[in-house]
Amino acid sequence: MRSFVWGVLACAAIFAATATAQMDFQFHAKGEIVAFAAKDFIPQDNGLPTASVRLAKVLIHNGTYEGETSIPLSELNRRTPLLKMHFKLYRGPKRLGIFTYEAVPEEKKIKKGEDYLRAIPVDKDAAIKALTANTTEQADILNLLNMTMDEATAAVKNESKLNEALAKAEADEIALLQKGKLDNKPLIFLPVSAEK
Amino acid sequence: MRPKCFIAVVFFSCFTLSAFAGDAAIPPDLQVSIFKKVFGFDKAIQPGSLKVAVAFTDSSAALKDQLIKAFQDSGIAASAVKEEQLSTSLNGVNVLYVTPGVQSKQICQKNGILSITGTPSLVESGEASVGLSVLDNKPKIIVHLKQLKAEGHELSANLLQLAKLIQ
Repeated sequence: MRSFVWGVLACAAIFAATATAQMDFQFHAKGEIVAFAAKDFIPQDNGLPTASVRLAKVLIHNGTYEGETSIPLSELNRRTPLLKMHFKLYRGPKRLGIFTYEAVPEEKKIKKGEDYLRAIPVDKDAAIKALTANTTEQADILNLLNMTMDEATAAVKNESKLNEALAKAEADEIALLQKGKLDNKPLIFLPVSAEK
Repeated sequence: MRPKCFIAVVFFSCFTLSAFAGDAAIPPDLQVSIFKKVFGFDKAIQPGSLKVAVAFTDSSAALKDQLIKAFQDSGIAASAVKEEQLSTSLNGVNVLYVTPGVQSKQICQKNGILSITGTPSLVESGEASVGLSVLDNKPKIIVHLKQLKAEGHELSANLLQLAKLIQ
């Protein structure tokens, strides 16, 4: 179950990365959403890269991406009081990219002191496209190069396990989407504080 | 005389070991994982067209087997080519893994094949264009820019800024 959740989160991460980096895919959701995009990568003292992110309002019509608009500062502050402009990048177990999650809609009640990001459904094509996105690839390779030999070797082994979980999560998710159970519904809510 | 010879032998051994320390081996699985990511930054390699060959000699046959397995485990089509057969067995190959002792510089340049290696000295000598080394106990990418260009390949700046560059 845990690997499934990680897999779903990974799917969502790369899907949202594609959303802002390539802008040529279809959402399953409708209406407006707020998405993050990785803007730049900054090596940190602890060896983990950090992503500078931007937020944008993404316009969806009939399941198709139509464009995006910037978010006024006042609205940005109201929507995302806890979203720092820098997020740690994670890859593999406990190293999952969180910079690409969709913010929870305003109407969703958030408990005081907690902030949430929403993982959005992903389809197989979008995932494959995202795997070739430079932003994701650069983060991947930078992560690996910043590890010690032992850590990197272990990460490679874990990555293969993660990829297996990812493939399974994709298959499960596609099956659910085909049944129409996940349209317009968030898959999972993730406390941001737990992932920082 | 004998003690002097002994000291000389010890000194020579230490020198030799330290000279080879720069060629510390990165496990084949890790090499392949890093190279697989590097390929994504090569504008000359189209997604889905990747075909790797491992060039080997009798002395690197064991390494060749490990590399072939690692490439295949990661979903990359890989074949083994003995050095003597390089001129006739690289049809469709766009990446050549060069093991120590293999001379493939001209063939890679002529056929537009990206040469990679886990032996950093081969990159430093220009025998391969992209390699991996260990620096501060961390994997490090080395790129020989002149050889890379001669092979008709180009890596994006995003990757080059992470690598040690040899002009």
